[in-house]
Amino acid sequence: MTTIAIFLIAGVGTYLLRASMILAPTDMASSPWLERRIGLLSPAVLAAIVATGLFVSNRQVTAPSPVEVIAVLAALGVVHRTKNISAALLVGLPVYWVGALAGFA
Amino acid sequence: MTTQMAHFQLNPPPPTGAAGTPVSPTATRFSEQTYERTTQQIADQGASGAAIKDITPLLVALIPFSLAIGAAAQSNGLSGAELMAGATFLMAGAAQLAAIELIGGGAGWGVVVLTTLAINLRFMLYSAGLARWLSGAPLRHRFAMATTIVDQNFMICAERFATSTDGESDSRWRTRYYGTASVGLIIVFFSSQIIGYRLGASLPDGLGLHMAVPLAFSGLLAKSAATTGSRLAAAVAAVVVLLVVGLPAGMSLPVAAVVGVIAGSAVTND
Repeated sequence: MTTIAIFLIAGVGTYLLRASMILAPTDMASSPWLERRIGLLSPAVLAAIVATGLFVSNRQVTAPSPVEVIAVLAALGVVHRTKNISAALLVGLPVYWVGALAGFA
Repeated sequence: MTTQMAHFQLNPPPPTGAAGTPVSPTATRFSEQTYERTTQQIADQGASGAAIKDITPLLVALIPFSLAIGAAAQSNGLSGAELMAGATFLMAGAAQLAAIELIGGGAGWGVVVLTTLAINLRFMLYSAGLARWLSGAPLRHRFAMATTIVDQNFMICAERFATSTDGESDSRWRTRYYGTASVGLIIVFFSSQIIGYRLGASLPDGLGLHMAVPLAFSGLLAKSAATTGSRLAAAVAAVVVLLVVGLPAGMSLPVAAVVGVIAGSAVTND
């Protein structure tokens, strides 16, 4: 089987996952019970992605460099204070660069 | 905006010309249609502007990730056409990257397909979440919108639609918002992969581009974890994903998310 055919089959399956609920004839997501759970999904997924990005390398848990942790904490802090998600990168990346230049990376 | 339009439709101004003379019904209808179109155009521009503002930080974070996918495709011997096929059919960076690595390592097609589906299982949860806000859109629009249900779109929609104003609750506004964000994602996703494929291994490490994803997502996390339940869900998911990192086929993320949601639910009302 060609690589493009493999991607096509995987893509069709992925589309079915994506379309399963948004195209459902009944409003399956209208119950308050489900609404509260879905509201928790976003922070749970985000935290898992951040933790993976910081602590996982080649499917192994590794200690991040201090400057990486500081950069993420700075991003969390500035967004918590300003409520502006753009600030995460605008502050976090320079913090990382400065720390890396100082030899903490 | 919607309120103004509704007011105009219910209480149209007296149809008079420049000198106070009556104008024809045709001219009045034309004026109403023009006003409605103009109002709708302003609303559409507002939706597009809001989407661009919200999605831009995530697009910046998407660049290094997509560059890495392109570079991985080159190092694993995929052609440019195969890279673009993966991007087009999957529209999912993590799954595409895993598929490229598996194909490069000689895995069978069944393993590749099952792996990508496992990694993309979270899209089903996103689909359920988006259905709450986009169910008013026409079916043909929802068919199209399903193709770009990805992390970034779900995150900005969850943030924006959960606290919508009256105008932003309008189905057309939301469709425009989602569509604009999707176009931005597609442009950055594809172009960065092509550049990454061209540059290959010559991309500099010193830029710290690997930090873009955790930084951008931590910004979203700081804003979305506003309640005790959501903070607990986030903390538990972060710990669990590290405990189950060895799970095959990218299952660690969905498992951590589900456990986190269960933990967060324990401190909600029901």
